[in-house]
Parts: sequence; structure tokens; C-alpha cells
Amino acid sequence: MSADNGQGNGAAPFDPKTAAYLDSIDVVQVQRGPDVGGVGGAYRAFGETLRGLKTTMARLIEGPLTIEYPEEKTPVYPRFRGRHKLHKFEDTGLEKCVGCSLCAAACPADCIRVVAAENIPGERVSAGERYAAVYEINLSRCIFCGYCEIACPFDAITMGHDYEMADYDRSDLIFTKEMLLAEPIERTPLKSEGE
Amino acid sequence: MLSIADTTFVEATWIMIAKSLVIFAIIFGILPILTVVERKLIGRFQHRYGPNRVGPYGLMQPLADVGKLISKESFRPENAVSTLFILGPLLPVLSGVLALAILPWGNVQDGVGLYGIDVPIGILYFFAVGSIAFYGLLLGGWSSGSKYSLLGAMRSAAQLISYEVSMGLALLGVIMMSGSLSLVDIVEAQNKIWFFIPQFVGFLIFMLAGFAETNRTPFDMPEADAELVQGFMTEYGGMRFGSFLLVEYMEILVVSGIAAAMFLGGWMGPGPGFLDPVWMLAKMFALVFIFIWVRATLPRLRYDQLMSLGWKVLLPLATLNVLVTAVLVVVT
Amino acid sequence: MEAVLFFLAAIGALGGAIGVVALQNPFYSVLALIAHLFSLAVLFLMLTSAFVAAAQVVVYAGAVMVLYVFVVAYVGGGGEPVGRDLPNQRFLAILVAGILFVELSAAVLSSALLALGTHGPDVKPGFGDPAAIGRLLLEKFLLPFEASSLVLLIAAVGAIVLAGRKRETA
Repeated sequence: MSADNGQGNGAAPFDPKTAAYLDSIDVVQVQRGPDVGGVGGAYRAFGETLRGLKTTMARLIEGPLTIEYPEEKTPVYPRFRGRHKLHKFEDTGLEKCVGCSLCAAACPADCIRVVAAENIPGERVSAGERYAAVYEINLSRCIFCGYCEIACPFDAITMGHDYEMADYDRSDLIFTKEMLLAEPIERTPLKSEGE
Repeated sequence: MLSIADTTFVEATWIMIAKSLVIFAIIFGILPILTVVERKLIGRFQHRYGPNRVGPYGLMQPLADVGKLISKESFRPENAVSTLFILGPLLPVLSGVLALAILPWGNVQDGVGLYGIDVPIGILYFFAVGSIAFYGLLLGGWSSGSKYSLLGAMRSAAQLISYEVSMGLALLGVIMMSGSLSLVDIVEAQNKIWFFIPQFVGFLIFMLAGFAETNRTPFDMPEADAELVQGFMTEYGGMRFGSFLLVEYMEILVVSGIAAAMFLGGWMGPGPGFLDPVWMLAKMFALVFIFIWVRATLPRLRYDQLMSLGWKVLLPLATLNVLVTAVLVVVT
Repeated sequence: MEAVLFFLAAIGALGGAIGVVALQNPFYSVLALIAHLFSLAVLFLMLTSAFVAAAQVVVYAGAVMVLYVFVVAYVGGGGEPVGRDLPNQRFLAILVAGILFVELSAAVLSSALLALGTHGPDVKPGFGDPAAIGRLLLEKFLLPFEASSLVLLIAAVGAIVLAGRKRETA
């Protein structure tokens, strides 16, 4: 047996004399853990065990805190930044977005694509001079930073509360204007006051 | 006929067959429920629900588990020793089923003893069949041809010899107080007072050694999943793995049953005679609950802590308990 | 039933005993020894001594053999033979085996064969149960019992002394 048996984990190396001695005899060095402390240690360990048992029993009595997800959703804060929404004026029904592309410019992930077009009198789409003919958000790139919301001068785009956006296909994650304008089924509960 | 049974009370052969079938059916009905109960309780101990998707309250979970295990391939590593590898999971099942036979569910009622068999050597039988289980683990670990399995098996060997002594000594106090090895007689001897009270130290030592014998936390050293993957079970898959798991629960039931009979007055309890098995079962479940409670609480001991607890604390305590009990029994 | 069990156990015992000597791998030898011990326990059981059978399993199969298995599995089944053969080993082996055979034959011929074909001894109820064995050990054979326990104690102390000395020099 060589002397470096059992001192793999950074133990102090033996001085040459001891090492030579250890080489000369057929003994395996055993690394021992710290002493558990005899009877007193056992008594302490027993007390601590009882304390631990008390702790776990208290958890049992408190009951589960689990939110059973598909049936029950985690409530979000009012300022939670979920999937985007595009808005219309409630009275006229016209879109708020005027196709200015400020959101696209502000977007750090570069996931918004806006193509603007002139409003034709008679079939106005938006309240302003122009409107967004194409408004797409690629949600597989979006980082939900909310800069688009801040950049928008007309509050046309806001972040909603919806966080269930998983899909089977990447192309399905490109949300078009119609999808963003559609009234989302508000399924996400809000946190109550003080929660 | 073999004279393993008590010769003073003989039953018809068909009654014995019927009894063994009933015990077998009930225990094997309880085992799957026990797996769900354990997972649900562990969940509750951690502020969770545990399995609750399959069937009402998740009670069909074991069916799903078994279905999964059966449909899996019975994999065998190339350098495993095939006969022993197959024998490995069989022996512990055999030992568990054999041990079920002596659990007393009640005394003789209407000519039928409510126990599998009342052997005069009683508790020694439990130790004898218990030693078979160990060979299952060891053969499984050795024949797997994997160092994790071998280390797990070796650890269980060391653990077994360390704790079996204390376990036996812990029961010796009860045996001296009741003056019999037969579990039925021991339960009858607890007419006035359950041995749980005068033999509290023995009960504690027995339960601790029981945790070690069943390889449960905090003594689940042989299967220490963090360091040895799954110990002796590492190379097993499918229903062979499943039977190792099954055996763990069976051993818990057996150890709880022995402890309930030896310390908690077995079937004793208020109410008419036909409630006796219910009382026994209730006490067993109370002890099983302790098993689960401890599992939810304690981390795994280090190997040297395990050894020094067994030899330096439990063994002297158990010996002292035996000595004190002997003196008291002689004096009174 | 009894005859079938007897022959099963006897075959197990003999097969195990032969296996211990004949098998090359020490691990299998130990397993064969365990099978032998279990078969012996069954034979004891049939001789109305359940206690001896249980003690056989608990002590030998359950504790002693565990240590054997422990050592063999750790050290491993090295193929090389242990030590050198003694001079005239073959001759000595045959001689010792012959002496043993003569002794056993004498014992069997003088006593057990007479009982062949008879019912065998009538066993009193309670024979071989723990209480009877305890009474024998602690009343009739107290001195040999204590003497053997003293020998075991000496062996245990000696083992500790030997193990302790090794650690001091280390």
C-alpha cells in the first residue's frame, strides 16, 4: 500500500519520515470523520431529532400550500407583464395604434414588426392619420420587458396578465394584430390586496 | 408432522390454508395502499398533496406504478451472474411472506387462532427468516457486476450485523417479562400493562434497529441514492426492482407488527372480540406512520455515525436494559 | 411429506457440503455453505428441535456467514491458491478422511442403525423447546456452558487486543 491511500481530499501530506514509515508497513490509512461525541452526543442528537419531528408534524397540521395548477392558477400582481394586448377606443371602436413603430424601435429583442398604412376616409381603422396594417409580435423572442408599453405614445399596447402561451409550433407563437386585439379570455386571477 | 407448531392446539388443515390465504390477501392488499399513503403523507409533511391524479384521491396510483414496472424490460447487465441476479429479489419477498405468518391478529376464537402460526420459538422465527432477506440484497448486489451495487450490498451487510444484535437484546427484556417466546403468549401477558411502558428503552431501541433493518431513513445507507445511485438495486429494472420496493414496505409492516405485538399490546383493545384484528392493524399503522414521519424528518446518517450509534450507544443501552429487567424480574 | 422433506434437506445438506469443497470461486463456496446450513436447520426442525433450528439459522446463517460473505465479497475471488501445499498433503488428507470415516462408521453402526425400521424414540412433549433447552444449559450442564462462554469471551477479548495493537503501530 502506498502512503497516499486515503488522503485524497486535501489532507495535509505526511512528512518524509512518516511517509517512508507508512510505505514500509502494510496499513491502509483511514480517514475518520469528526467524533460524534459519545453518550452526550447521542443524547443531544436524540433531543434534536425530537425537535425535528415536532417541526415536520407542524407542517403536517398546517396542510398543503400547493396550488393545483391546471385547475387553480397562481394569482399574479396587477403589474405582472404577461402577453401583450392591443387596444381600441371604447366609444368609437377605432384602434389606438397609429403604426408609429416606436414600440418596434424600443424592443430590445427586436420581436415586433409594424407595417403602417394611410387611413382611407370612410373606412378608418385607427384614430390617427395612419394605422398598423401589419402588427406582429414574435412571442418566442419576446422577453416581456414592457418597453413597448412604455414607448407607446397612445397606450395602444399594454402587457396583459396571461402567461399560458405554450404551443406546439414556433410559427404559432407569432401573434398577429387580430390575435392581439381580440379580447383575451382573462383566465389569470389577480392577487388580492396585501397578498 | 413437523413440530414447528404448538402441539397443544391443532387446527384442521383447511382452516390453516384458508388462514394463510386471508393473511396473504389482506397484506398484499395493504402493501399498495401503503405506498400511496407513504407518498401522500410525505407530501403533507412537506406542504404538498402527494399523488392525487390517478383515481379518487390518487388511490389508483399503485396500479399505474405496477403497470409501468411490469411493462418495462427486465434488464440484466452483461457481466451480471444471471441465476443469482434473478434470485436476488426473490429471497427478500420469501422472507417477508414467511415473517407475516407469526404476526398475531387475535387469540383463538371459535376454534380458529387468529394468527398464521403460533410457533413456540416465536420471535426467534422472525430473526431466522429475517436473515434470509439479507442474502437477497447481498446476492443482488454482488451478482449485478457493478461497484455501486456491491458497495450497497456490503453496507447493508455491515448494517445488518450491527443492528440485529441490538434488536434481539431489545426484545429480550419483553421476553423476560412475559416468560415466553410465543407472540400470542406475549400479547396475552400484556393484559394489565402494555410492555411499551416498562420497556420504553427496549421499544426505542427496537424501533431504531427496525429503521436500520428495513433500510429506511435515517439508516438508508445501503440504497443511499445520492452516493450509491440505488445501492444493491442499481442494476435492477422492471418488476424485479418493483419487488425490492415491495419488500421494503412488507418489512416495514412486519417490523411494525412485531413491535405492536411485543410492546403495544397487540390485539388488546376495547370492544368485542372480532375487533381484535382491527386493533392490531390500527397499532401497526400507527407505527408505520412513525416510520414515515421519521423519513420525512431526518437526513441520512454518515456511515461512521451509523456504526458508532449501533455499537457504542444502542448495544450498551440494550444490554443495560436487559440487565436491569433481569434484576427486576427476579426481585418481583 | 416428511420423507420428501427429509430427502430434500439431506440432498441440500450434502450438496452444499460438497459444493464448499469443490467450487473454485470462494464466493460460491460460501453460498454453498449457507445452503448447507439452511438444510441442516430443516433437518433439526424435523427432529422436533425448532429452537436449535432457529439458532442454527440466526447464528450461523444470519451472523457468522454474513461475515464470511463480507470478507469474500470484499477481498474478491482471486484465482491464485492460498499458500503452498504441505509435503505429503495428499497422503495426510486421505489418512485424516479415513480416520473420520472409521469414527463415524463406528458411531453409526453402534447406535443409529439399530433404530432403522422402528418408530424412533418417543419424544416427550416440550422436548427441544426453548424452556427445556434453557433448563438443560443452566441446570444440568451449567459448568460446560460457562466454560464455553469463557472461551468465547477470551476469543472476543483476544480479537479486540489484536485489532487494537495494529492501530497503535499505524
